Amino acid sequence: MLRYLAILWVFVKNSMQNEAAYRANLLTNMLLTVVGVTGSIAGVLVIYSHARTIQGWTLPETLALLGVFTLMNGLINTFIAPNLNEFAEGIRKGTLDYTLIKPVNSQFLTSFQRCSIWGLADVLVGLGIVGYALASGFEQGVGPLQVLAFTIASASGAVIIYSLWIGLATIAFWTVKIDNITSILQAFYNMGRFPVQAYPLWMQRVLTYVVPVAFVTTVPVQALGNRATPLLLLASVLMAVVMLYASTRLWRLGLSRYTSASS
Amino acid sequence: MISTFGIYFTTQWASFLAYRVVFFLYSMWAILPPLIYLAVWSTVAGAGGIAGWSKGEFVAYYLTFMVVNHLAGSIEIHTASWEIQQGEISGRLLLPVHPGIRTLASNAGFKTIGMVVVVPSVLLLAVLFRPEFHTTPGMVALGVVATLLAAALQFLIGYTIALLSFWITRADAADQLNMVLLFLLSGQVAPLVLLPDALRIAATVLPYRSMLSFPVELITGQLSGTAAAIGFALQGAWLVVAWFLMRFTWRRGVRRYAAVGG
Amino acid sequence: MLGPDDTTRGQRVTRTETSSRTTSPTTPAPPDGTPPPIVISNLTKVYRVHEREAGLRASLGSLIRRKYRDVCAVNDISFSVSPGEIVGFLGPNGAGKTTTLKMLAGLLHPTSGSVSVLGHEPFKRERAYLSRMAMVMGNKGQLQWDIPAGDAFLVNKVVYKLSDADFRAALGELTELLDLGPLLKKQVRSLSLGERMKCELAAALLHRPMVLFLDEPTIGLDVTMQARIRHFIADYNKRTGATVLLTSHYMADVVALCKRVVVIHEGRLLFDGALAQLSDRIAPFKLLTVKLHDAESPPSLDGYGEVQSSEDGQTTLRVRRDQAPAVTARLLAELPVADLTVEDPPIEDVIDQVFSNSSLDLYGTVKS
Repeated sequence: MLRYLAILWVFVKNSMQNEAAYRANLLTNMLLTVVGVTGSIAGVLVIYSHARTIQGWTLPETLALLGVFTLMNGLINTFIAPNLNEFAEGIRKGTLDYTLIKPVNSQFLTSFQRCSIWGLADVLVGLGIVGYALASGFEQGVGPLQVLAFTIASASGAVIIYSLWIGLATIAFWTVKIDNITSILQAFYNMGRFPVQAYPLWMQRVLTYVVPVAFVTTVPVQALGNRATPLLLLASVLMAVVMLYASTRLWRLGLSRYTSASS
Repeated sequence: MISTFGIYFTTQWASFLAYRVVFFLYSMWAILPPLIYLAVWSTVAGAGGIAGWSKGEFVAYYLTFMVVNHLAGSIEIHTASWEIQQGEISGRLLLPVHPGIRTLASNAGFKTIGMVVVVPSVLLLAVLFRPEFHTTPGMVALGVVATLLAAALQFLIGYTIALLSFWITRADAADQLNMVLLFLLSGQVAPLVLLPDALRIAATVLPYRSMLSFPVELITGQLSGTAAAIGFALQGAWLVVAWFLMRFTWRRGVRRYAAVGG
Repeated sequence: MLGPDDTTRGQRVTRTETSSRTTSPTTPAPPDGTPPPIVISNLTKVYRVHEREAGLRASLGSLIRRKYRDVCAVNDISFSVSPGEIVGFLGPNGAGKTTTLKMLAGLLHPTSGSVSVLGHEPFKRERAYLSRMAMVMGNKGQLQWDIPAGDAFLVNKVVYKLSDADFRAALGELTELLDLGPLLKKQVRSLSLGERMKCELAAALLHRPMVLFLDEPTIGLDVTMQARIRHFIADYNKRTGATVLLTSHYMADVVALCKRVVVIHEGRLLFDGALAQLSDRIAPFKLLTVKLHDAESPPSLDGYGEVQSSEDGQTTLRVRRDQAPAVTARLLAELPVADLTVEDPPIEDVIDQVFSNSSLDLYGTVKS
């Protein structure tokens, strides 16, 4: 475990030096974050200009949710997205072989060997939005217990979204051309911009059990607003464990296909 | 030129078919983002409707939006831009055919074959959400024409953005800005009539209404004859502007490419 | 440029003909009885290949049902490598070399047969195995392009659990041997092809692997750099006693580094033995160079063998190996011979033949 943290730290350090070489990129990326977040907030405001609540969710609550969405998006952009592109490239060019002959869990290496630290800007902006939402009339009092529940739910959410992404990326073992798989995954993840209650029942089911985006954004905000039951929190942790396990199984399946068929 | 287009077109088909899974996922890209707003707006509208729109009207609007979004959308940031970044354009520049023809063929190939995914998905969603259309065959016919014009406009703009790859290594920054504006101003986040005045005016003055919302408004029967005529005029004007913008960017880009060597 | 091992040419006729038929393909057991680090027996790999036909109709059809075809890339191969040995693994393109190397590295699962490296089954990818082996592929690298190689080495340090001291010692040694000093701080993308290969080798060797698989390590490099890399491999092998299996298209690599070669062709083992005897198999003939006393009206030598060249009164004949003694005797008896040498064909020509697909079958030497 400690070793894996040490490896992760080297990856972060290396990418920091790397990003420094592309300072212009950093600036455009910050700008894009601001533009993107402004667009999302404007979208939420448009809907709330016609409706007071969406299935009981007030504007500050939905804004807090958008904050969590942005935060998680930042984590994805920092740690996962750059690696998925690299992974697909690695399969195409054959450089994945080098990852596979390393005496370290190959899923771990593949998931984290590249990070784009500018994605952390999204994390900060996301936290900022959550803070703003809390200050602007989040009705329930938020105490240490709620913050703890929020942290647990968010951590589970992060594990779930990681498992989803790596799971979908594993498709690359079967079909080599996945150059823009990140944008497709984004399309699913985007459903997390709104509380699952905003969707019809069948979509809620899908977003809870099939592509469990509900646990990534809705549940953390419910936890923050003291609306998540202990059972829901437990479900979220369980879902995280199950999804992570499933992703490792799928990874191994893909790997065994790769090692039996690649040339 | 037509026959070159035809050959490119069929080879594109073949390559899309070879990568079935990815191809399927790509097609979903036109459907999933509007689906969010379809769902949210129909939840908000509930039984009583909102801002003069019934739930079924929202559904009709967004289902139409999905089809038009697929047919008019630009994929050039994934095709042309990539070719330039990878240097593949060098070989293409030597051919006696403008590389844009190939890009266009790839665009058309993707769209026609993508209908295999889009049409069933939209029909399925229609069963689940129950749309309510108030339109006339004439308006639908005009909407089809407007969709083609919107596709041409989005192609020109998307291609121009892709050509920025001649200057900067990553044209996706410009692309992302364009995407945010498309999201807000093309009728995705809400039908344009429901936007606050400032955004609605921006959508009309900028090309974004012509790129997507206008055909959807026509097909769903929102527009009077005069409004339709004005919309076509705007589309035409933007097409001319986008054409010259594209030609300008192309010439400068190729000149730069020849000078710097990529 | 040829290395110090280049002693195979120009054997005088007086030298006793030893062992040309007696070598067995199996490796002699090492003196201390350690088991061979690489053992391959009856290894076979069959790929299922998706067949795509041209044309729209065919590709539409492939949307529904795909056609597959089995391709046998490696067919019933057996050989083993002794500790500290450098073995050249040769064959024309598509012979199955890379497939075999990948099975040894644990990247491919054998269809049948077995592979054992350092006592491990590679495809289980056990950490104990992976941390003692390394693979370098000349046509693709493990180093990220946008960070300096020195930083990338730090990743390998934690990945292979190297202590600070071990890492520093290994890096110091490799820096000296490969002259890496000025390269470590540069972004990999700004290095030349040769410099990059030096860094790739260093990255692969930081953890001091006991078994090293090199797939075309000198491909695309200029001659000087090739020699440099070659020297380094020989040096590394001497210092650490690591076992090396090497594929290369450059005969100079093979001649300089490998006393023993394994040749495969179309997935089958064609030859396994000393480089010096490769010619017995692949080109089983000798070159007889004859100089006659009376050069005024030289008699035709066509009757003795195939004339390869004739100049300055010297004639070179190509004679089947088994007939060489008899032909030599006849020449000496029937003609006024001033000088006569019997040589093996140059090893370069022989290796060349190994790489060019077509000429291999000419001699009908495919091992049954």
